[in-house]
Amino acid sequence: MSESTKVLVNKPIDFKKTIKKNSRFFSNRLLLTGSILLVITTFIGVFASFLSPYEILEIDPKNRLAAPSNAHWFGTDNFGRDVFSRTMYGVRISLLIGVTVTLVASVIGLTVGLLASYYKLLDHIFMRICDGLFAFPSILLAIAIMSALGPKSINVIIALVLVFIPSIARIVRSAALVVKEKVFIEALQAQGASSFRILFLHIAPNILAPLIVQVTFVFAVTILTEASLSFLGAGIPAPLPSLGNMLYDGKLAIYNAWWMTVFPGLFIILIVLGLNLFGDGLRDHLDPKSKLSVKRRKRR
Amino acid sequence: MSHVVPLLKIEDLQVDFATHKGTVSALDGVSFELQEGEILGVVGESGCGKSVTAEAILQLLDEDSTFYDGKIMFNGENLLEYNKKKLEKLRGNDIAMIFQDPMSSLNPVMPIGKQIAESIHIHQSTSKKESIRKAVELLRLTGIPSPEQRAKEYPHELSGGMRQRVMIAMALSCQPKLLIADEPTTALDVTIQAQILELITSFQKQLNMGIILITHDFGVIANMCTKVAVMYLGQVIEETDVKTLFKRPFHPYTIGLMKSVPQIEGERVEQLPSIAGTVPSLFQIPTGCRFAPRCKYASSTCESSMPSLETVENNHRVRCWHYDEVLKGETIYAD
Repeated sequence: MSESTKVLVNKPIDFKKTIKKNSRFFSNRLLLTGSILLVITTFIGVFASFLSPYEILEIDPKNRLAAPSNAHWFGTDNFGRDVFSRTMYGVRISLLIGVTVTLVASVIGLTVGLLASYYKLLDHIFMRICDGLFAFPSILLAIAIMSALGPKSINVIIALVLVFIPSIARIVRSAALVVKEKVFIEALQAQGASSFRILFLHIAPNILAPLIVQVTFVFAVTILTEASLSFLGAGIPAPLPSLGNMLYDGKLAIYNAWWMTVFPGLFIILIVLGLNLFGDGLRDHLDPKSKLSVKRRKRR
Repeated sequence: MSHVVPLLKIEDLQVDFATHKGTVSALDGVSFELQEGEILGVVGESGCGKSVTAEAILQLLDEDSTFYDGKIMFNGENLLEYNKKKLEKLRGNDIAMIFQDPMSSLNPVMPIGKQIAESIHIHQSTSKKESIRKAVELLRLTGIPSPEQRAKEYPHELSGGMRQRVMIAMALSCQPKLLIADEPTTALDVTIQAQILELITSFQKQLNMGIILITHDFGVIANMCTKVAVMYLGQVIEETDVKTLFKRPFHPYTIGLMKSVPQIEGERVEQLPSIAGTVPSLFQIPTGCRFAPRCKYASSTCESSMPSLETVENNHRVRCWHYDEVLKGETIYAD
């Protein structure tokens, strides 16, 4: 073990070899493009404070609605705040909310879906609740929850989690129902494994592939929904920049200052496009029977 | 011998399934017993209830739609009265099971060593490291080469025979008193079959286990078993020790089954004899003897009333009204 690691450390990284080794990843263009976009936006989100030249709340009344220039790359908004800095922070907040919501919703959705697949009574209860939540358009439901809870960042997260649990729980349940009927589950029962062990240690790892794919889409939709909520004024409260409420601010001055809408909008597109491409690519990557990967294997 | 508590004694076991078309009786009055160290073969066509019997012993059938009646006495305790906790403790520890298809009876996303270790961990509450060590040891005992590396591999990296060895290792991990093998070699090719059966027999001798071997291969029965139960449509129709059965089967169905196996020695026949008709659906079970519609000895008695499993000679029980006639009418090949 130690010898081989030594060799690895001493050798300069051979890019050609790395690419060849992971050719299935690199020849999947969707996945590759998606990953690059995600890496870029994540980088922006993580290092927003280093990247932004101005404070996000720093107002400059003399310089209101200034067009993009060397001093303000993306121009300034109606208070003279730097749009570039605010966009970087907006990306951070959008991603932060996206990650939190997706993580929490996945964990709860996974648990609910697994339990529903295994216990008939719970299945009826959970799935009827999911049906109820599904009956509303997600934005409408999120607005309703937000207006009940009040405009706070944490409440945005709660509202979105509630909205996205059902779609994850559904996917998990249907995948788990298939795995549950497999012979190895019966074999596990015959070995004396408890239901808990079977559900969380054996069924759960077997449904990870569809879950991960669904999670990337939920991530994308979360970011869009959060932007819509903020745009409608029911999301992240005002002085804090989010891509959605920046669009809302920009809307007022769209004929005088296009940069206020275009740049935050561009970043929403980049994030969501990146996530969707990533999700699509991942689905092909994880599915051994998908046309793409089979074709590629034949070619080789 | 009769005063010894048998390892497993099934008395008049009934299993019903609730379906959309109504209740179906999958097992009706299955009885047999098994002593320690005995190997009982269960034979019959597909759909006759062999596997259901196996699954019923461990109560692995779907909880909501299955109804049990009768007694399954294991070491003098009725398993049908066990609660879920007690059953989980029993499964894999006292009674273990090997399944037909080794391709699908292992978790595809978990290394095999971990899977074996898990069942040791559950029942003996050993540490994770210790369990893995024991699992590797078991893999070695089942004749898998370089077990340390194999233990880290996933099921798809192993051949069918290897996987069945893994299943055996897993089943024997807690040294069960009873092993249920549900067609353990059906999915394997012939050369591997012999190895697997030999492996099971050698473990059986070491541990003095009782084995219920479900199969439809009379050759396997003749080689391995001490006792045989022949099943037809959810009933045991003949039960005796192996030698007696091969020398002198009483039930027309058993005779039909045996005749439909090609003989290596003796005259070669153009066409193998088969049993006329097909197994009726469980929804249309004949009122009398269940085999009557396909039996050439059937009389009006057979059609109207069901024969019971009666002892005709020492240790030889048959469910047939006309077994003495059958005996006269049939010439049975020498074993």
